[in-house]
Amino acid sequence: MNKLALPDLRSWNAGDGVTAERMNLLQDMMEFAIAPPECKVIRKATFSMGTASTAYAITFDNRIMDNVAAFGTGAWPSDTPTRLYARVPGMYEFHYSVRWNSALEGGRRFMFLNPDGLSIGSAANWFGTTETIAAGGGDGNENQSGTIPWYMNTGQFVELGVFFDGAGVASASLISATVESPDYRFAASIHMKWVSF
Amino acid sequence: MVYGPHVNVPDPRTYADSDSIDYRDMDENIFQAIRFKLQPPMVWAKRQANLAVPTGTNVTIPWDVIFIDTHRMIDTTVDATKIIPNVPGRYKFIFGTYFANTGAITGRKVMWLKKNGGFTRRHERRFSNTNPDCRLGARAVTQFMNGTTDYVQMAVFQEQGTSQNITQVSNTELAAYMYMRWESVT
Repeated sequence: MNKLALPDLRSWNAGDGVTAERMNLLQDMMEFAIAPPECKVIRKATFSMGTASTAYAITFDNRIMDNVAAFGTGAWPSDTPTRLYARVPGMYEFHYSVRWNSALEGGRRFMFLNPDGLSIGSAANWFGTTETIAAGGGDGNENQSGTIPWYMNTGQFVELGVFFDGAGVASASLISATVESPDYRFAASIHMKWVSF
Repeated sequence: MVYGPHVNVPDPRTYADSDSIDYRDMDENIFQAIRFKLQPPMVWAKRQANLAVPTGTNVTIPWDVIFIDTHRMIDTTVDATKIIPNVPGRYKFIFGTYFANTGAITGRKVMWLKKNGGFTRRHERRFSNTNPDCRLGARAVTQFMNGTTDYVQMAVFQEQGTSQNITQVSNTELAAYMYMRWESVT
């Protein structure tokens, strides 16, 4: 089924016979229920954050899956690699993560979603924010993960943002993973899934 | 946002050759069952007003904005802290909170998911140095709810030594939030 359109939530009324049209409506609803629009992208390469107290949108460099792409422009267009778009309206759930460089000891580290092109530098626009702090002393690499719902209309998008305040920091970057598996320990990842009308 | 018509989990059935099938079978047992999955029971409750959290005290959060309640699972006129699912099943919960900027937060900051008054899941941060604010956020857990008497709440706790507020920063950074979605039958 075309994932660029929501299925028609019809009822089956008295007098309705079994027609191809109605069976196709049923098929569309079932397919949408068992395989809703979803997309997962990751950042494999090191992502450098040059300046403390500045928010950055992660530029993703690999697509794990995007089941909307088969029907046209997918959720992750190549010309805007920081953005995940909703191609149909609805409630979406996001799962996201970043892996901070072990050199980044001390200071606060934020990971958040940024909606629809609003100023990423304004913390008032962030949502789904998670915050950690490294006390220093060789804590090693640190992973952050989060989950948040967000209602989106067609054409709206989110970005995955990161921010650190620089206190006690010698260098600042997200660390690229040593790839042991295609599905974990990347510099950053985000999974977006439609869950409801 | 309230929709229906289902407040019950669709009842799966098996047909026999001798069954006569009419529109009700197609509608109630097939169409509406799929519709239930596409429009699952859902709540998104928010806390926008400041809420004082005395040091060393668990505070259960009264919700003051009900953004989504598809099946009327919160009655703020009775108890604004409780979400009482009226559809049985396993639910996914996502919740978070924001402790206000006080200039120097120390000690533990904790948030809890409470089921039937007991503390079931928690997320905690311990501070070893000075920070201007504190977000505990975006955590997901699942719980089975019986659809009749089970209820959930969210609580916060801190041990700064003085009372602290959870507070809303913006329309996206809330004092607290709780999202709940029906996930499956078991």
